[in-house]
Amino acid sequence: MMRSWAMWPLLVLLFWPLHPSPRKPVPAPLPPPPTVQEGARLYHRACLSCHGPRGNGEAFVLMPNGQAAPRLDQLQGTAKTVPHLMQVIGEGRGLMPAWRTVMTPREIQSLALYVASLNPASPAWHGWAGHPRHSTPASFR
Amino acid sequence: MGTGWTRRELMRGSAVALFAGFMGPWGISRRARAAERFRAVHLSDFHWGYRGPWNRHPEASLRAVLERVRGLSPRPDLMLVTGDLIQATPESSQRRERFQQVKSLLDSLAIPWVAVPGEHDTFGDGGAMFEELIGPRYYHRTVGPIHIFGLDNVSRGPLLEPRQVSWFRREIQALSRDSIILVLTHAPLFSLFIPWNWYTYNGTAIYHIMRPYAAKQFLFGHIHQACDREYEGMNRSGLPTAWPLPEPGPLVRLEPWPQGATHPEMGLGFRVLDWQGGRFEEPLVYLEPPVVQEVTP
Repeated sequence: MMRSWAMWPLLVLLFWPLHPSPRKPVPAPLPPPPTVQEGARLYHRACLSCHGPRGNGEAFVLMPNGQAAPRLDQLQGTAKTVPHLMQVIGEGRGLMPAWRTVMTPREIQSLALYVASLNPASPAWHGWAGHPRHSTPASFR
Repeated sequence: MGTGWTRRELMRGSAVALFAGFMGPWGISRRARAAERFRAVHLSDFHWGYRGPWNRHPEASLRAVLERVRGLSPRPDLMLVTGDLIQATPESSQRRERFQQVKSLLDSLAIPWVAVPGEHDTFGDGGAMFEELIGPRYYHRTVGPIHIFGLDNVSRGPLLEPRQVSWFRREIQALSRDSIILVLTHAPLFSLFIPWNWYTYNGTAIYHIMRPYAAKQFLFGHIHQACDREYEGMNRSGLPTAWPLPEPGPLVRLEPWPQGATHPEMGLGFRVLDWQGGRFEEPLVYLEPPVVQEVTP
Protein backbone atom coordinates (compact mmCIF):
# COMPACT_ATOMS: atom_id res chain seq x y z
CA MET A 1 0.00 0.00 0.00
CA MET A 2 2.72 2.37 1.02
CA ARG A 3 4.67 1.56 -2.13
CA SER A 4 1.72 2.43 -4.47
CA TRP A 5 1.38 5.87 -2.86
CA ALA A 6 5.06 6.48 -3.53
CA MET A 7 4.51 5.77 -7.21
CA TRP A 8 2.18 8.75 -7.73
CA PRO A 9 4.77 11.55 -7.66
CA LEU A 10 6.90 9.51 -10.00
CA LEU A 11 4.05 9.09 -12.46
CA VAL A 12 3.19 12.78 -12.33
CA LEU A 13 6.78 13.73 -13.04
CA LEU A 14 6.93 11.22 -15.86
CA PHE A 15 3.80 12.47 -17.66
CA TRP A 16 3.99 16.18 -16.79
CA PRO A 17 5.58 17.16 -20.11
CA LEU A 18 2.49 15.74 -21.90
CA HIS A 19 0.13 17.89 -19.88
CA PRO A 20 -1.50 20.41 -22.20
CA SER A 21 -0.13 23.80 -21.39
CA PRO A 22 -2.25 26.91 -21.96
CA ARG A 23 -1.82 27.83 -25.63
CA LYS A 24 -0.16 31.05 -26.54
CA PRO A 25 -2.17 32.93 -29.15
CA VAL A 26 -0.62 32.27 -32.56
CA PRO A 27 -0.35 35.49 -34.53
CA ALA A 28 -2.09 35.39 -37.89
CA PRO A 29 0.45 34.96 -40.66
CA LEU A 30 1.30 38.21 -42.38
CA PRO A 31 0.16 38.29 -46.00
CA PRO A 32 3.03 38.02 -48.44
CA PRO A 33 4.43 41.46 -49.18
CA PRO A 34 3.68 43.09 -52.50
CA THR A 35 6.26 42.44 -55.18
CA VAL A 36 7.26 43.86 -58.52
CA GLN A 37 6.83 40.37 -59.98
CA GLU A 38 3.21 40.20 -58.91
CA GLY A 39 2.80 43.73 -60.24
CA ALA A 40 4.13 42.66 -63.63
CA ARG A 41 1.64 39.79 -63.76
CA LEU A 42 -1.22 42.13 -62.88
CA TYR A 43 -0.01 44.72 -65.36
CA HIS A 44 -0.21 42.13 -68.11
CA ARG A 45 -3.79 41.34 -67.21
CA ALA A 46 -5.19 44.75 -66.37
CA CYS A 47 -3.08 47.49 -68.00
CA LEU A 48 -1.09 46.24 -70.97
CA SER A 49 -3.79 46.56 -73.61
CA CYS A 50 -4.28 50.30 -73.05
CA HIS A 51 -0.85 51.44 -71.80
CA GLY A 52 1.25 49.14 -74.00
CA PRO A 53 3.51 46.23 -73.06
CA ARG A 54 6.33 48.55 -72.01
CA GLY A 55 4.10 51.20 -70.54
CA ASN A 56 5.29 53.64 -73.18
CA GLY A 57 1.84 54.37 -74.56
CA GLU A 58 2.17 52.01 -77.54
CA ALA A 59 -1.27 50.61 -76.85
CA PHE A 60 -2.79 47.58 -78.51
CA VAL A 61 -6.26 49.10 -78.35
CA LEU A 62 -7.43 52.67 -78.40
CA MET A 63 -10.09 54.02 -76.11
CA PRO A 64 -13.62 54.52 -77.49
CA ASN A 65 -12.79 58.17 -78.21
CA GLY A 66 -9.93 57.06 -80.45
CA GLN A 67 -7.19 58.19 -78.07
CA ALA A 68 -4.43 56.13 -76.49
CA ALA A 69 -4.01 55.86 -72.73
CA PRO A 70 -1.11 57.91 -71.33
CA ARG A 71 2.41 56.49 -71.16
CA LEU A 72 3.61 55.39 -67.75
CA ASP A 73 7.36 55.37 -68.24
CA GLN A 74 7.98 59.11 -68.05
CA LEU A 75 6.14 60.09 -64.90
CA GLN A 76 7.45 63.12 -63.11
CA GLY A 77 7.80 64.11 -59.46
CA THR A 78 5.22 62.70 -57.07
CA ALA A 79 3.35 61.09 -59.97
CA LYS A 80 5.81 58.21 -59.90
CA THR A 81 5.75 57.62 -56.16
CA VAL A 82 4.17 54.40 -55.01
CA PRO A 83 1.55 55.98 -52.70
CA HIS A 84 0.39 58.28 -55.50
CA LEU A 85 0.29 55.43 -58.02
CA MET A 86 -1.71 53.34 -55.57
CA GLN A 87 -4.18 56.16 -55.24
CA VAL A 88 -4.62 56.49 -59.01
CA ILE A 89 -4.80 52.74 -59.66
CA GLY A 90 -7.24 52.17 -56.81
CA GLU A 91 -9.57 55.07 -57.45
CA GLY A 92 -9.26 55.29 -61.23
CA ARG A 93 -8.82 58.40 -63.31
CA GLY A 94 -10.47 59.52 -66.53
CA LEU A 95 -11.38 56.38 -68.46
CA MET A 96 -9.26 54.16 -66.23
CA PRO A 97 -11.38 52.06 -63.89
CA ALA A 98 -11.13 52.03 -60.10
CA TRP A 99 -9.26 48.76 -59.76
CA ARG A 100 -9.88 48.57 -56.02
CA THR A 101 -13.30 47.10 -56.85
CA VAL A 102 -11.62 43.88 -58.00
CA MET A 103 -8.04 44.03 -56.65
CA THR A 104 -6.85 43.71 -53.07
CA PRO A 105 -4.81 46.54 -51.50
CA ARG A 106 -1.74 44.31 -51.70
CA GLU A 107 -2.28 43.72 -55.42
CA ILE A 108 -2.62 47.45 -55.95
CA GLN A 109 0.64 48.00 -54.10
CA SER A 110 2.33 45.40 -56.28
CA LEU A 111 1.01 47.05 -59.39
CA ALA A 112 2.15 50.47 -58.18
CA LEU A 113 5.61 49.04 -57.51
CA TYR A 114 5.78 47.68 -61.04
CA VAL A 115 4.60 50.93 -62.66
CA ALA A 116 7.09 52.89 -60.55
CA SER A 117 9.82 50.54 -61.76
CA LEU A 118 9.07 51.49 -65.37
CA ASN A 119 10.46 54.93 -64.56
CA PRO A 120 14.25 54.72 -64.43
CA ALA A 121 14.69 57.42 -61.82
CA SER A 122 11.77 56.46 -59.67
CA PRO A 123 12.52 57.15 -56.01
CA ALA A 124 13.31 54.25 -53.74
CA TRP A 125 10.31 53.09 -51.78
CA HIS A 126 10.63 51.85 -48.24
CA GLY A 127 7.03 51.16 -47.46
CA TRP A 128 7.73 47.68 -46.11
CA ALA A 129 10.74 48.65 -44.02
CA GLY A 130 8.47 49.49 -41.11
CA HIS A 131 4.85 48.63 -40.58
CA PRO A 132 3.13 48.14 -43.92
CA ARG A 133 0.27 50.40 -42.97
CA HIS A 134 2.55 53.36 -42.51
CA SER A 135 2.81 53.96 -46.20
CA THR A 136 -0.61 52.82 -47.29
CA PRO A 137 -2.78 55.67 -48.56
CA ALA A 138 -5.69 56.37 -46.25
CA SER A 139 -8.30 55.15 -48.72
CA PHE A 140 -6.88 51.61 -48.63
CA ARG A 141 -6.72 51.19 -44.88
CA MET B 1 -36.53 46.79 -72.76
CA GLY B 2 -37.34 48.89 -75.69
CA THR B 3 -41.02 49.40 -76.34
CA GLY B 4 -41.07 46.44 -78.69
CA TRP B 5 -43.53 44.55 -76.48
CA THR B 6 -46.83 44.87 -78.26
CA ARG B 7 -50.05 44.13 -76.44
CA ARG B 8 -50.45 40.88 -78.36
CA GLU B 9 -46.94 39.76 -77.49
CA LEU B 10 -47.44 40.73 -73.90
CA MET B 11 -50.62 38.63 -73.76
CA ARG B 12 -48.86 35.74 -75.43
CA GLY B 13 -46.03 36.03 -72.93
CA SER B 14 -48.49 36.14 -70.03
CA ALA B 15 -50.26 33.07 -71.33
CA VAL B 16 -46.95 31.20 -71.54
CA ALA B 17 -46.07 32.31 -68.01
CA LEU B 18 -49.47 31.24 -66.64
CA PHE B 19 -49.21 27.91 -68.39
CA ALA B 20 -45.69 27.50 -67.06
CA GLY B 21 -46.89 28.35 -63.57
CA PHE B 22 -49.34 25.45 -63.61
CA MET B 23 -46.78 22.97 -64.85
CA GLY B 24 -44.57 22.82 -61.80
CA PRO B 25 -41.51 24.56 -60.43
CA TRP B 26 -40.20 27.03 -63.00
CA GLY B 27 -42.72 25.93 -65.39
CA ILE B 28 -42.27 22.94 -67.40
CA SER B 29 -41.38 19.32 -67.11
CA ARG B 30 -38.37 18.01 -68.95
CA ARG B 31 -40.50 16.32 -71.60
CA ALA B 32 -42.64 19.36 -72.15
CA ARG B 33 -39.48 21.45 -72.35
CA ALA B 34 -38.12 19.28 -75.13
CA ALA B 35 -41.28 19.98 -77.10
CA GLU B 36 -40.96 23.72 -76.65
CA ARG B 37 -39.77 26.05 -79.33
CA PHE B 38 -38.18 29.42 -78.90
CA ARG B 39 -36.39 31.54 -81.45
CA ALA B 40 -34.12 34.46 -80.71
CA VAL B 41 -31.85 36.53 -82.88
CA HIS B 42 -28.46 37.63 -81.61
CA LEU B 43 -27.37 41.03 -82.94
CA SER B 44 -24.29 43.01 -82.00
CA ASP B 45 -22.02 45.99 -82.53
CA PHE B 46 -24.05 48.43 -84.64
CA HIS B 47 -21.76 51.43 -83.92
CA TRP B 48 -24.56 53.68 -85.12
CA GLY B 49 -23.16 57.10 -85.95
CA TYR B 50 -19.68 55.93 -86.96
CA ARG B 51 -18.14 57.86 -89.84
CA GLY B 52 -15.00 56.50 -91.48
CA PRO B 53 -13.38 53.91 -93.70
CA TRP B 54 -14.26 50.81 -91.67
CA ASN B 55 -17.85 51.08 -92.81
CA ARG B 56 -18.92 53.98 -94.94
CA HIS B 57 -22.61 53.26 -94.35
CA PRO B 58 -23.08 51.56 -90.98
CA GLU B 59 -26.71 52.65 -90.88
CA ALA B 60 -27.39 50.93 -94.20
CA SER B 61 -25.70 47.76 -92.94
CA LEU B 62 -27.87 47.66 -89.83
CA ARG B 63 -30.99 48.26 -91.87
CA ALA B 64 -30.02 45.42 -94.23
CA VAL B 65 -29.51 43.06 -91.29
CA LEU B 66 -32.81 44.04 -89.71
CA GLU B 67 -34.60 43.44 -93.00
CA ARG B 68 -33.21 39.91 -93.01
CA VAL B 69 -34.43 39.45 -89.45
CA ARG B 70 -37.86 40.76 -90.41
CA GLY B 71 -38.05 38.14 -93.14
CA LEU B 72 -37.25 35.18 -90.90
CA SER B 73 -39.79 32.43 -90.67
CA PRO B 74 -40.76 31.49 -88.06
CA ARG B 75 -40.62 34.95 -86.66
CA PRO B 76 -38.19 35.42 -83.73
CA ASP B 77 -39.67 35.68 -80.24
CA LEU B 78 -36.89 37.95 -79.10
CA MET B 79 -33.87 39.95 -80.24
CA LEU B 80 -30.72 39.98 -78.08
CA VAL B 81 -28.28 42.83 -78.62
CA THR B 82 -24.81 42.47 -77.10
CA GLY B 83 -23.67 46.05 -76.98
CA ASP B 84 -22.09 48.91 -78.88
CA LEU B 85 -25.41 50.05 -80.24
CA ILE B 86 -23.84 53.42 -80.96
CA GLN B 87 -20.40 54.79 -81.74
CA ALA B 88 -18.96 56.63 -78.72
CA THR B 89 -19.29 60.39 -78.72
CA PRO B 90 -18.42 62.96 -76.07
CA GLU B 91 -21.44 65.08 -77.09
CA SER B 92 -24.39 64.11 -74.94
CA SER B 93 -26.96 65.50 -77.40
CA GLN B 94 -25.41 63.44 -80.18
CA ARG B 95 -25.36 60.38 -77.94
CA ARG B 96 -29.04 60.82 -77.17
CA GLU B 97 -29.89 61.20 -80.84
CA ARG B 98 -27.97 58.04 -81.74
CA PHE B 99 -29.63 55.97 -79.02
CA GLN B 100 -33.07 57.21 -80.04
CA GLN B 101 -32.46 56.36 -83.68
CA VAL B 102 -31.29 52.83 -82.88
CA LYS B 103 -34.14 52.28 -80.47
CA SER B 104 -36.69 53.45 -82.99
CA LEU B 105 -35.22 51.14 -85.64
CA LEU B 106 -35.30 48.11 -83.35
CA ASP B 107 -38.81 48.93 -82.16
CA SER B 108 -39.98 49.12 -85.76
CA LEU B 109 -39.61 45.33 -86.07
CA ALA B 110 -42.26 44.83 -83.37
CA ILE B 111 -40.18 42.01 -81.88
CA PRO B 112 -39.33 42.31 -78.16
CA TRP B 113 -35.64 43.05 -77.60
CA VAL B 114 -33.13 43.36 -74.81
CA ALA B 115 -29.64 44.84 -74.88
CA VAL B 116 -26.52 45.08 -72.77
CA PRO B 117 -24.19 48.07 -72.96
CA GLY B 118 -20.89 48.10 -74.80
CA GLU B 119 -18.02 50.43 -73.97
CA HIS B 120 -19.12 52.80 -76.74
CA ASP B 121 -22.60 53.01 -75.19
CA THR B 122 -21.26 53.95 -71.77
CA PHE B 123 -18.48 56.28 -72.89
CA GLY B 124 -18.74 59.73 -71.37
CA ASP B 125 -21.44 59.08 -68.78
CA GLY B 126 -20.81 55.59 -67.37
CA GLY B 127 -23.99 54.27 -68.97
CA ALA B 128 -26.46 56.82 -67.59
CA MET B 129 -28.04 57.55 -70.95
CA PHE B 130 -28.12 53.88 -71.87
CA GLU B 131 -30.13 53.28 -68.69
CA GLU B 132 -32.42 56.18 -69.44
CA LEU B 133 -33.20 55.30 -73.05
CA ILE B 134 -32.49 51.60 -73.53
CA GLY B 135 -32.82 49.89 -70.16
CA PRO B 136 -30.90 48.80 -67.05
CA ARG B 137 -27.22 47.90 -67.34
CA TYR B 138 -27.89 44.49 -65.82
CA TYR B 139 -31.14 42.59 -65.44
CA HIS B 140 -33.00 39.29 -65.42
CA ARG B 141 -35.85 38.64 -67.88
CA THR B 142 -37.87 35.52 -68.43
CA VAL B 143 -39.14 34.97 -71.94
CA GLY B 144 -40.98 31.72 -72.58
CA PRO B 145 -38.82 28.95 -71.13
CA ILE B 146 -35.60 31.00 -71.17
CA HIS B 147 -34.03 33.02 -68.37
CA ILE B 148 -32.03 35.87 -69.82
CA PHE B 149 -29.42 37.66 -67.76
CA GLY B 150 -27.89 40.82 -69.13
CA LEU B 151 -24.64 41.90 -67.47
CA ASP B 152 -22.51 45.01 -67.76
CA ASN B 153 -18.79 44.22 -68.05
CA VAL B 154 -17.67 47.45 -69.68
CA SER B 155 -18.98 50.60 -68.03
CA ARG B 156 -16.63 50.46 -65.00
CA GLY B 157 -13.70 49.02 -66.96
CA PRO B 158 -13.23 45.46 -68.23
CA LEU B 159 -14.79 44.04 -65.09
CA LEU B 160 -18.00 43.25 -63.21
CA GLU B 161 -18.65 45.34 -60.13
CA PRO B 162 -18.83 43.15 -57.00
CA ARG B 163 -22.37 44.46 -56.37
CA GLN B 164 -23.44 43.13 -59.75
CA VAL B 165 -21.81 39.75 -59.11
CA SER B 166 -23.65 39.47 -55.75
CA TRP B 167 -26.93 40.34 -57.43
CA PHE B 168 -26.31 37.73 -60.12
CA ARG B 169 -25.52 35.07 -57.50
CA ARG B 170 -28.78 35.76 -55.66
CA GLU B 171 -30.85 35.66 -58.84
CA ILE B 172 -29.26 32.48 -60.15
CA GLN B 173 -29.50 30.62 -56.86
CA ALA B 174 -33.25 31.25 -56.83
CA LEU B 175 -33.64 29.23 -60.05
CA SER B 176 -34.03 25.49 -60.32
CA ARG B 177 -31.01 23.56 -61.57
CA ASP B 178 -32.73 22.61 -64.84
CA SER B 179 -33.42 26.21 -65.86
CA ILE B 180 -32.39 27.31 -69.32
CA ILE B 181 -30.14 30.33 -68.93
CA LEU B 182 -28.65 32.76 -71.41
CA VAL B 183 -26.06 35.23 -70.14
CA LEU B 184 -25.47 38.30 -72.29
CA THR B 185 -22.38 40.47 -72.01
CA HIS B 186 -20.58 42.77 -74.38
CA ALA B 187 -17.00 41.55 -73.85
CA PRO B 188 -16.40 37.82 -73.45
CA LEU B 189 -16.37 36.63 -69.85
CA PHE B 190 -13.38 34.39 -70.55
CA SER B 191 -9.93 35.58 -71.58
CA LEU B 192 -10.14 35.37 -75.34
CA PHE B 193 -7.31 37.83 -76.03
CA ILE B 194 -6.24 40.15 -73.23
CA PRO B 195 -3.98 42.47 -75.29
CA TRP B 196 -7.05 43.60 -77.23
CA ASN B 197 -9.28 43.80 -74.14
CA TRP B 198 -11.22 40.73 -75.25
CA TYR B 199 -11.78 39.51 -71.70
CA THR B 200 -13.41 40.28 -68.35
CA TYR B 201 -11.00 40.71 -65.43
CA ASN B 202 -13.21 38.83 -62.96
CA GLY B 203 -15.38 36.89 -65.41
CA THR B 204 -14.58 33.60 -63.69
CA ALA B 205 -16.91 34.64 -60.85
CA ILE B 206 -19.86 34.28 -63.22
CA TYR B 207 -18.74 30.88 -64.50
CA HIS B 208 -18.30 29.70 -60.94
CA ILE B 209 -21.85 30.73 -60.02
CA MET B 210 -23.22 29.05 -63.14
CA ARG B 211 -21.45 25.72 -62.61
CA PRO B 212 -24.45 23.79 -61.20
CA TYR B 213 -26.59 24.70 -64.22
CA ALA B 214 -26.34 22.53 -67.30
CA ALA B 215 -28.60 24.32 -69.79
CA LYS B 216 -26.66 27.54 -70.20
CA GLN B 217 -25.00 29.63 -72.80
CA PHE B 218 -22.91 32.79 -72.76
CA LEU B 219 -23.44 35.26 -75.59
CA PHE B 220 -21.17 38.20 -76.23
CA GLY B 221 -20.19 40.74 -78.88
CA HIS B 222 -17.22 43.11 -78.98
CA ILE B 223 -14.92 40.99 -81.16
CA HIS B 224 -16.80 41.64 -84.44
CA GLN B 225 -16.53 38.09 -85.76
CA ALA B 226 -17.90 34.61 -85.19
CA CYS B 227 -16.42 32.67 -82.29
CA ASP B 228 -17.69 29.52 -80.57
CA ARG B 229 -15.68 28.56 -77.51
CA GLU B 230 -16.40 25.78 -75.02
CA TYR B 231 -15.35 27.17 -71.64
CA GLU B 232 -17.51 26.40 -68.60
CA GLY B 233 -20.35 26.04 -71.09
CA MET B 234 -20.72 27.31 -74.62
CA ASN B 235 -19.62 30.88 -75.30
CA ARG B 236 -20.75 32.35 -78.61
CA SER B 237 -20.19 35.73 -80.16
CA GLY B 238 -22.68 37.60 -82.28
CA LEU B 239 -21.76 38.92 -85.70
CA PRO B 240 -21.31 42.67 -86.04
CA THR B 241 -23.41 44.83 -88.27
CA ALA B 242 -20.73 47.55 -88.39
CA TRP B 243 -17.38 46.07 -89.49
CA PRO B 244 -15.40 42.86 -89.08
CA LEU B 245 -12.20 42.61 -87.06
CA PRO B 246 -9.20 40.33 -87.63
CA GLU B 247 -8.51 37.19 -85.68
CA PRO B 248 -6.42 37.63 -82.55
CA GLY B 249 -2.84 36.55 -82.83
CA PRO B 250 0.09 38.77 -83.64
CA LEU B 251 0.73 41.43 -81.03
CA VAL B 252 -0.17 44.44 -83.10
CA ARG B 253 -2.58 47.25 -82.47
CA LEU B 254 -6.14 46.20 -83.14
CA GLU B 255 -7.25 47.77 -86.43
CA PRO B 256 -10.33 46.92 -88.46
CA TRP B 257 -10.02 46.22 -92.15
CA PRO B 258 -10.94 49.13 -94.36
CA GLN B 259 -14.23 48.42 -96.02
CA GLY B 260 -13.80 47.19 -99.58
CA ALA B 261 -15.84 48.89 -102.26
CA THR B 262 -16.76 45.59 -103.87
CA HIS B 263 -17.71 43.72 -100.69
CA PRO B 264 -19.16 46.29 -98.29
CA GLU B 265 -21.10 43.76 -96.23
CA MET B 266 -18.43 41.11 -95.83
CA GLY B 267 -18.43 39.55 -92.36
CA LEU B 268 -21.59 41.33 -91.22
CA GLY B 269 -24.74 39.56 -90.13
CA PHE B 270 -26.43 37.98 -87.13
CA ARG B 271 -26.96 34.68 -85.36
CA VAL B 272 -30.22 32.78 -84.93
CA LEU B 273 -30.83 30.83 -81.73
CA ASP B 274 -33.45 28.12 -82.07
CA TRP B 275 -34.39 26.29 -78.89
CA GLN B 276 -35.88 23.07 -80.11
CA GLY B 277 -35.96 19.51 -78.84
CA GLY B 278 -34.25 20.57 -75.62
CA ARG B 279 -31.20 22.13 -77.28
CA PHE B 280 -30.07 25.20 -79.17
CA GLU B 281 -29.39 25.31 -82.88
CA GLU B 282 -27.50 28.47 -83.73
CA PRO B 283 -26.85 29.10 -87.39
CA LEU B 284 -25.02 32.23 -88.51
CA VAL B 285 -26.61 34.43 -91.15
CA TYR B 286 -24.11 36.56 -93.08
CA LEU B 287 -24.98 39.40 -95.37
CA GLU B 288 -21.80 38.26 -97.06
CA PRO B 289 -19.51 35.56 -95.62
CA PRO B 290 -16.06 36.68 -94.49
CA VAL B 291 -12.90 35.72 -96.31
CA VAL B 292 -11.26 34.69 -93.08
CA GLN B 293 -13.44 32.08 -91.49
CA GLU B 294 -14.52 31.82 -87.87
CA VAL B 295 -12.07 32.31 -85.03
CA THR B 296 -10.78 29.08 -83.57
CA PRO B 297 -8.80 30.24 -80.53
